[in-house]
Parts: sequence; structure tokens; C-alpha cells
Amino acid sequence: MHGPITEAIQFIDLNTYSIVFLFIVGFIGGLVSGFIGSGGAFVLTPGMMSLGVPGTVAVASNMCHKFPKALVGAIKRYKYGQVDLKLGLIMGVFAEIGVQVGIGVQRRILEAWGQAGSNLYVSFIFVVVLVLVGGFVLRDAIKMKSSENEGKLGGGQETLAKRLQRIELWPMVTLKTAKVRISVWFLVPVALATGMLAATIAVGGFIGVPGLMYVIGATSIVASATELVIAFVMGLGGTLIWAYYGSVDIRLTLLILAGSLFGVQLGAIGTTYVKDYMIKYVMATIMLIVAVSRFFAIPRYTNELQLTSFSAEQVGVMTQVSFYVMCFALLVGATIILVSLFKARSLEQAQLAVARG
Amino acid sequence: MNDNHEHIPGRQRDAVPPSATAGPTRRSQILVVSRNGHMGPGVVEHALRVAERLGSSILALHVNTLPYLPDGGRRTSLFKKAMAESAASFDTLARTRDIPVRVEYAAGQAGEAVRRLCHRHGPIDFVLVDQGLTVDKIAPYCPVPVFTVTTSAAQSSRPFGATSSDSLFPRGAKTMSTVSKSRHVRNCFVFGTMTAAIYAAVFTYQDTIMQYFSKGGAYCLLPVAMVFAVSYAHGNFTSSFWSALGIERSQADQRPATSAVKESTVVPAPRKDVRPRAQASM
Repeated sequence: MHGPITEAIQFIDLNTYSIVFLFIVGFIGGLVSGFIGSGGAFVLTPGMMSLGVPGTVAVASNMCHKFPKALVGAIKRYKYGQVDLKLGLIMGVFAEIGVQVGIGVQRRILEAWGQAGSNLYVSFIFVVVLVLVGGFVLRDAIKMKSSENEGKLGGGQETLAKRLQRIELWPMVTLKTAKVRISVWFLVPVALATGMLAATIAVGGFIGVPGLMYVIGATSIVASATELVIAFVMGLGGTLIWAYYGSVDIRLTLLILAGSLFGVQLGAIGTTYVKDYMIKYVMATIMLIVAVSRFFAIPRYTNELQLTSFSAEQVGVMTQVSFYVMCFALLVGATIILVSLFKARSLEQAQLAVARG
Repeated sequence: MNDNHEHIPGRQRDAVPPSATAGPTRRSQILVVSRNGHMGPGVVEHALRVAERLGSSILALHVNTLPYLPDGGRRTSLFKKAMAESAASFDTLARTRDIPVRVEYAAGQAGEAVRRLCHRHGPIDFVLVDQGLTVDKIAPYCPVPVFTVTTSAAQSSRPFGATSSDSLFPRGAKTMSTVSKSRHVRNCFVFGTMTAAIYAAVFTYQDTIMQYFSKGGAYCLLPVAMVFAVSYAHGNFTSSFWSALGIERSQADQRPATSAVKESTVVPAPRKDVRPRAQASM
């Protein structure tokens, strides 16, 4: 059954440039994933495609590197006591269902409106979700920073999580690390939405982490760490499907993994140095910049659907701008993480030196 | 069973500890008892806090409860080695707060060891018991109150062996010692070689590998197995790599014990009533 698809797949020849490129992008993506739990891999698919890798192989190889990266990050952060395994596994199972639902929705849109319609739908979802959720997270991070009250979530969000926790609806589940007791019925929608978003824009964590923070009531450290477990479960399922059709280029996967495991370890270490709101800051910053990037991708699809009439040159420029802005988002996120990590680390070492006399 | 006491190497019984030379005169003492080579972080932190508040000094007693284990003295030697490490860390922490600490070694029954120490080293205000020892084993022998420090569930659920690696610091902090640093370098080398071998094999035989790995169907397990193997080798390599470079988790963060002690409750041990009762014979 996999024959015809395999025959259609073209694997690229690797050169020094592509190897270095994949290693570096892998490292930066891993750093961001280790820190905010997700969102480090979205540059890789278009990045690989720019090297000439076919879309299917790029998606499959990216997916195949994401779940071991998530596994390594989750183990590291589990050692730090940040992962709620029970929450991650429950959410992971339902998120996997969400992925299947998301794929179904995508297929229907593809059938109804064709490839351009599907792409427009993805970009539209990208922009709407990222602007709304990113804006919300940013507002909360600013509020938290100004009040310097890292232990508590701000205003309305806290009320929503607390209100949901008060509702005793069977089956209730006690999550020790997240310090939450909540009905499974409230976990399911968050998990489904995470899976659906993952199937649509390949970064479920942009819904998963805020969902865990504001709906379930976990802290951003626990939420971002637990998201890695969800990403592992979803990634493993997705990889098996892609690998079943023979689409995974293991060489690309290993090259990305070589860099990303360095990054994910460093990102996880970074979470132990920064304050709670810093994770929200990084997440919101990346989400909002990526939203701008996707905004520039929209005219190409609206043109194809004959809703707008930009010139081919303009569309080409905007597509390029879209890709570079996406890279910029990842770079900004990585820079914030590295600067915060090393600043906090040198401060701590100075304090220790003073304490030791 | 014969009991014997000795001081850890480098410390004399009546010598004034270096940190005792500074600060106010301290008369009372807190006795901290452990049956482990490494003293638990919860009890250490609590002892330091209380000693700081009361102006007391600390007497740390490590009791080797299995001195005659037929293992050629291996356990005892490991116990003493761990105790020396623990004592050094305890002393470092105590110095920053200007609290004199004296560490003693005893072999035999914990209760008996405490009783003798209380008589010899008085005045002792009270006894704090580390995890691994139950208060009812100490309290009947002890003339002063005995307390146990209850830490958080996560911490107390950790396995504590006699020479457990859970030492004065929780897991991970051991990496600060030079011994651990060399271990990181060794791990870095071992897992680095393993990773390099995997990558070299894949890229040398990439044509054959790609042929099988992209076959699909049941062969889908091949790439998955491969990335699991790489996660293990390369994951451990990258972890050791950063640790060997000294980039590790924040030390403030690696003290969950500190925050746990904040919430800790000191539970007074129930004492056995050993007073003589008046009896009448009819």
C-alpha cells in the first residue's frame, strides 16, 4: 500500500550548507522548545522546503525529530520536578484524537476549496489564534511582572481556572505536580484543541500551554514542561503514520536532532533560572511575531482564490518576508532565553561567591 | 553489639571548630542524628535555621547501624566516605551562617549512641532525627526531646539508602562536587562516542539505510527505533556536555528542600512513659 507514495518521494542530496543549516535551526528550535514546551519546530518545515526537500518529506522528518526532542526535554524537566506526568499522558491521548479530527477538517476543506483554500484556512487560523492567545499571554506576563507576584495568575484567567476546579464533575483527577484537582471533562477540550491546532499549524503548544495555564490552572513552568509530554505522545503517533508511508528522511531527522538535543537541554536548564512570567514573555513574543509572518503569507493564497490581485512580484516578496519574519521570531525567542539564562546564572554565581566569602 | 564513637578525620573531639571562633558564645547544642552517610537536606536546613535562631551549635551524629556486615568492611568504608562528604557540605553551609558544627561517627544501635552522646556532650537542647530513623527508636533512650522533620511528600517519598546519593543536596546538586564533574566528562566521552558511532554508521551507509527506512509499512518501526536510540545516546551526551561545561540548573531551584522545609512541621515524638509505678501486693 505504501508503494506508490514511496516512488513519488524524492530525497535530496546533502551538502555542507544544508547540514550546518539544519544543525543550527535544530539547535535554536530545541532551545525554544525546551523553554516554552513547544513552538521551536515551525521554521523547520519551510526551512527544509527551501533546501529543496519535498513538502511531505519535510513535514514527516520534522515530526520524526519532534517527538524524541520532546522526550529528552520532558525527561530533563521531569528531573527538575516540573512535569505532571498524569496530566501530560491524559492530555496526550485526547490530543491525539484532536490531531485526527484536525486532519479530517483539513481534508474536508481541501475537498471543498482546493489547496489554496486549505492554505488560506491554515494561515487564517495561524493569525487569529496567535494574535488572540499571544496577546492574552503577553498581557498576563506584563501584569505578572508589574505586580512581581510570580506565584499567582492574574485576574480573570485565574478565576476561570479556579471556577472550573470548583466544579465537581465525575471523573475528577488530582494532579499533584500541577497542584490541581479538576474534572477530566475540562481537560478534554484543551487537549482536543491542542491536537487540532497541531494538525493544522504543526504547533499545538500555542494552544496547549496557554490552555494548561488559564483553563487548567497550572503554572507556566509546569504547563510548558507538561506540554513536552503531550508533544511526545502526539509526535510519536504522527511519526508512525508518516513512517508507514515511507516519508521520513532519517538523515534530515538526525541532523536536526543533533542540534535540537543540545538546545532542548539548555532550554530546560534555562527554566530553572528565570521567573515564571519570563516563559510567558518568550511565548507571547514568538507567537505575535509569527502571526505577522503568517499575515504576509495570506496574499499569496487570496490571489490563488482570486479574492485579491497582487502582482506576482509583490507576492514573491511577501512570501520571502513571511519566511524571514518567522526566522526572526525564533531568533528573538532564543536570544531572550540565552540572555536571561546567562544573566541569571552569572548573578547567582556572584551571590554564591559573596556567600562563600 | 559493641558501640564505638569516633570523629571524622581531621577533626578533634575537643577542638573548637573553625566557624566557632566567630560570633556569639554558644552554649546549647542541637543533636542531629542520621543512619545515612549523607544527611538529608530537610533536616540539615531545619537544624541550621533553628540553630541560627537559638544561637546553638550543631552536633551531627552519623550512626552506622550495620558495622559488622560481612562485606569485608566495604559498607563501613563507603559510609565513612559519604559522611566525610556530607560533613564538608554541612560545614560549608554552616559557615555562611556562622554556626559551629561538629560531626561524629558512631557504630551500633542508634538509640544507644544518642544516649551516650547526650550524657557526654551535654547540654543538648533537643534531638532532630533524619529520615531513615524512627523517633520511637531514639526517644526511649534520650533524656531530651526528640523531633522529626516532616518534609514535602515528594521529598519524603524518595528512597534513602544508607549511603544514598540523596545527600545534603537533592538530586543534581552532587554534580557540584569534583567527583561528579569527572563523571560528567566520562559520560560525555562514552555517550559522545556512542552518538558519533550511530551518526557515522548512518551517513556511511546512507543509501542502504534510506532504502529500508523509507520502505514504509512495518519498516516504519526502523526510523522510530533509530530516533529512540539517538535520543538515548545523544540526549545523555548533550546533558553531560552542558554539565561538564558547568552549565547546570539553578542552585536556587535545586533546593526544593528549602521550600519544603518552609512548610515543614516539627512533630514531637511520643515518649515512652518509663516512670516507676507504685504497686501494691495483696
